[in-house]
Formats: sequence, structure tokens, C-alpha cells
Amino acid sequence: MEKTAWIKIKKAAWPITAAVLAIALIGALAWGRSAANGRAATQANLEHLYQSAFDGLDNGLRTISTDLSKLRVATSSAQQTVLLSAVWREAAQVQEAAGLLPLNTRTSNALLRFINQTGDYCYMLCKRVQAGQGIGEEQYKTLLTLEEQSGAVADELDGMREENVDWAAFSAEAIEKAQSEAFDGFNKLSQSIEAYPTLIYDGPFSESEEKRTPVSSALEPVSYRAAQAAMEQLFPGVYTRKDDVDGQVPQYAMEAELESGQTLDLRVTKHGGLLYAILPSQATATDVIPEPAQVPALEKAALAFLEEAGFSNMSGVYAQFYAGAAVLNFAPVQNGVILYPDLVKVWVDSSTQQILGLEAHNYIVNHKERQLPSPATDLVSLSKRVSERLRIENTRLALIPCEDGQERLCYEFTGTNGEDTFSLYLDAKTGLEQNVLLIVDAEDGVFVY
Amino acid sequence: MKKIRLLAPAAVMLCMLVLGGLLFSANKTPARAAGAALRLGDRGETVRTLQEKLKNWGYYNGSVDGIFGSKTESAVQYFQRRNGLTPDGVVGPATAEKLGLTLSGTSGNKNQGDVNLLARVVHGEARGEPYMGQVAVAAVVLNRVDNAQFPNSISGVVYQPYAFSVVLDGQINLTPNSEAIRAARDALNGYDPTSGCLYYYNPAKTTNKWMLSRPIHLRIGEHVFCR
Repeated sequence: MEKTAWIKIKKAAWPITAAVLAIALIGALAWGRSAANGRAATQANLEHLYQSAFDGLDNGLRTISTDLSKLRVATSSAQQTVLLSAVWREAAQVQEAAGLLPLNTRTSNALLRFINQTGDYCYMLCKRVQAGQGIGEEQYKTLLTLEEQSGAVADELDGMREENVDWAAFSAEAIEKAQSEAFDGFNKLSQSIEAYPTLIYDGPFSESEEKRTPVSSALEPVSYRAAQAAMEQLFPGVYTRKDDVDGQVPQYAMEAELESGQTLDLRVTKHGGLLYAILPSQATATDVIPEPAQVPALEKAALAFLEEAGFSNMSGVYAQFYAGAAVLNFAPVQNGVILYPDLVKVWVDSSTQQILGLEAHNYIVNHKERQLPSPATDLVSLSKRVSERLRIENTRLALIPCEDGQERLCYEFTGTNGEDTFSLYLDAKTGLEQNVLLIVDAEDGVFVY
Repeated sequence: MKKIRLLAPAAVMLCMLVLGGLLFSANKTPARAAGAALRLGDRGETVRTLQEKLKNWGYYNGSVDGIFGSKTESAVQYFQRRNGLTPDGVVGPATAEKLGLTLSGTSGNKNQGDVNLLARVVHGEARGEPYMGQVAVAAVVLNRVDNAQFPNSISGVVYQPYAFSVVLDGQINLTPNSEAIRAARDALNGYDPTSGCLYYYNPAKTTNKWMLSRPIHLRIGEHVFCR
């Protein structure tokens, strides 16, 4: 009896089970297939992205080489300007493409350096041409080298294209170990680019900028003991020496525990014993944005501290607020001229006026007594050159850092157009417009002057 | 007994199917687009950050659970009253700005985007590191932007393939905490504890020979920094 019942149930259950199983199987297959399709599509998209970046790199370098070749014969400054700025623009796009490719660090470093410096060099040259200085023999030689090199890199990339690069094989480990054959082309490429001589010129990406000797290096070396003693005068507390930091500006590092419980990480230059930085050891917990009316008091506190720390004749230029701190920017003033290349930033707690931080890299690297030329143009005639669209509110003399690494004495005209505030810089010697700055009135930024 | 044995695989398969379907569709449905405002009933990381901030500044004493409840709402109203905003209890662009909170969907200027991306790198790469170590990670990104050997924008540097592990494992998409945001802003304002370093790694985790061969410049927390 029992046995028949069991068989009955079994018989009745069979078709249902089979149906369920069949549906499940079909469903699982369909799902698996669509997931696989999705993965395949993602993989294909990724490969296309790489391929398009590769094409951008290859074609871009070819265009750069072509434009550079035209510069061999172009004689009018108008045409030279067009070609040089075309190379500059093309280089910006090519570096973007190169940045998207999964290359190993060595290759991408060498490739990007070449592209960035080529663009940078042409940009600097373009500005020279516009200033009426023309292209010299030396510069023609450099342009010719750049033309050959960009052409050679494009040739190598063409070779790789013919071999059909397998982008899918580019995993992080494979790239760094560069074991796969797919990378041979790129390895050869990095070797040949690394062999190119360094481009010597003045520009933001030039080697000369990276290797510039700071002004402070001419100062007398001081001992760690003396450096700490000087800091103890500023911040009495318990000091712990930390590992020295070497680099463009060699520094002693120390941690100071103040009586208030505040901990400061201090950096002092080995030459001259100047305060290089006060680094934050913790994030402040408050987030109060002070009223603009509070700024003068904060600025006074920061100035008093700067004077004590050996930064004299400083003047406030810009203030910003975040996370409970005011970041006040100061520049030294010499004979009424504001020296923008020597900026110092001071972080002040906006409620207690306590000094939280300092950053003086620019001051340490640049600051010295300047030989300031007397302005060759007078303010009245220069003001006429300023666009009528700028409602001038303030004028003063300022020394500004330029992209070519030079400093220029300029008249600074600050004023408004519509809702926006601009600063316009006109060369005090030539009257030429050097720079235009838009003062971004950010949520938390205040322009002090 | 046999029936169970027979039905069990079917049941397992069904379960898998349903689960798989759920996972798959969850994958395909875009995450609820974060609107340009936070309000009662919302939940998520941004709400958590909001609560953290309100709590830190003494406006909120409830739990930081990522759920925008009535307690959070009254805390927001309290914050709004104290900061001269309309106390409607909704975190719109104006309130978010005062809070230093980034709402996805709000249009921000380039600078705010930079701060946010940099903060996400810091949050992913150096969460739990000493504060200076977090600033240092942001400073390395910025040093790369300024260096000829790397792309010329923050996003170009961050998204360079295999440059940062947080981009690979998706941690870059986490909402940064307030400490990471502060570290990003400190670095953007010029703090560079590394004095110009271009690389960093965790010596306990890296196997990259090229990286290991570079001279170490300084150590902060778990990371070593090099040029």
C-alpha cells in the first residue's frame, strides 16, 4: 500500500521536476550567455579604447612631425605662430592619448616627457615669435631634431600596428615584467626615446626648471642643533628629530609637541636654517568658515608670526578658508613692489588665531634682494592701454613669475568686468600685456586687495 | 527520500537562477541617480558623511547610520538656521556648500571636481594612514601633474592605466571622508610633505621590481615615497 502511493507520487512528480529542470537549464544558459556577451562587449570596448588611444598617439606624432617640417621653410611670423601653436595643441592631445595606454612606467615616462617637452618648447618659441624675437639658428636645429624624433616614434608605432598589438594581454603584471612579446615594440620604443638628448630650454616642463638651484643653497649650512634651537624660540615644546628630507631644498625634519597639546611637524632648511614648512599632523575637526570681516585680525596674527620667523616686509595677497583654517598668502614687498614669485602661505585657525601650518617653498627657492628696473612707461599712459571693459579698482607695481622662468616688473591692474574680477599685468618696461588672471571668487576664497 | 533527492537539484538550480537573475539585474540597473539634494528618507554614504559632519560640529547627536531620518532633518534645520540659510531641512546646493559636502549631480567648478577626485584617491589609497601620509599621497598626484613624464591633468594622472590600485579595484568610487577632503585641499594649497616625490608604495605589498629599485626618499606610515 505504502509502496504504491510512493510510486504514484513519484510518477506525478516526474514531469514537474523535468519541466522545472528544463526551464532552469534554459534560464541558466540564457543568463550565462548574456553575462558572457556582456563581458565580451566590455573587453571589446576596452580594446577599442586602447586602439583609439594608440591611433591618436601615432597619428598625432605624425602630424607634429609634418608641422615641424613646415617650420623649416615658413618665414612669416604669422605662419610660424600658426604652426608652432598647432604643434603645441597637438602635443596636448597626444599626451592625453599616451596617458590612456597601458604602458609600463619606464615607457610611459619617456614617451610623455618627449611629447610634453616638444609641446612646451613650441609654446615658448611661439611666444618668442609673437614678441618679435624670431627663430634663431640653434632653435631651428632643435626643431629639426624634434621633427626627426617624432617621425621616428611614429614609424615605430606604425610597425607595432602592423604586428597587431594584443591589448587584451596588457595586465598590470605583464606590463611591469614586460614578458609578453606584445610589449617588445614598446620596450624598443622606450629605449630609443630614452636615448634622445635632453631638451635644454626654459619652460614649465624643462629640465632646467626641475634642476634649478634654490637661492637658499648659497646660505651657510647650519647644524641640526642650531636649527632646532631656532624653532624652540618660535614654538616652545618637546622636540623629536625625524629623518632628514633631501631634494631640491635639503631639510631637517622635527616634531614639536607644544604645551597646548598641538603637534607640529617642522621642516627647516639645512642651508640658512630657514623655516621651510609647518606640516599638519592632523586634520582639524571644525569646519567654520569665518566672515570676511575677521580676515584682518587673522592676517595680523599671521604677519606677527612671519616677522618672528624671519619673513619680513610681507604683505597679504589672497585668503582662502576651509576646514576651520584660513590660508593666507603673503608676498614680500621691496620698494613698494610686490614680489609674487616669493609667496608664503600661512594656515591660521580661524577661531583661536593659532598658527597651524606654513609653506615657504617659493620664498626659500626664489627670495633675494631684486635689482628692480625703474618703470620705463608711466602709469597714466599705460592705463589707457587697459581695456575699457575692465573697471580698474586698484593699481600697483608687481614682479611676476613668467612661464619662461624669467621675472618681469609689471603694473598690476585689478578691476571688474560684470561679476568677475580680473588682474591684468602690463610689462612696466615695454607696456606689453604679460598675463591676465581671473580671480575666482570661490565659495571660500576672498581676495584681500 | 528519493523525491527530495530528485527535487533538491532543481530547487538549488532555481535558487541559483533567481539569485543570478537578481545579481545580474542589479548589475544592469544604474544605481539610483543621486539627486542634487539630500532629504528625509534618503540613505547612503553621502548621508553618512552629512551626519558625520553635523555630529562633529555639534548639530547632531543621533547615530551615524547613513539614514536621513527626522533627527538628521532637524539637525540640518538647526545648521541652516545658524548659517543664515532657509531652514527647510533639505540639503540643497547652498547648504551642501556651507557644509563642504559634495553632492553628485550638483554642478561644480573645475576646482571642486579636482578636490573631489583627489580626495577619492586619498580615501582609497591612504585611509587609516597618518594625516600627513594622506596629504603626501595627494601631493604625489599633483607632483605628477607638474612633471613632464606624466599626463598634465589630475584626472589624466589618476586614471593612467595601472597607476593607482584604487582605480583598479573600484575603491576610487567610494565617497571620501572629511579627512581625505581636507588632505586633498591641503595638498592643492601647496603642502607637500614629500618634497617632490613622484611615486609611493607599501613595501609589504609591492612586488614591482622597478619600483623597489628606486631610492627611498622618506617614509610616512605604511608608505615609502620616492622620486
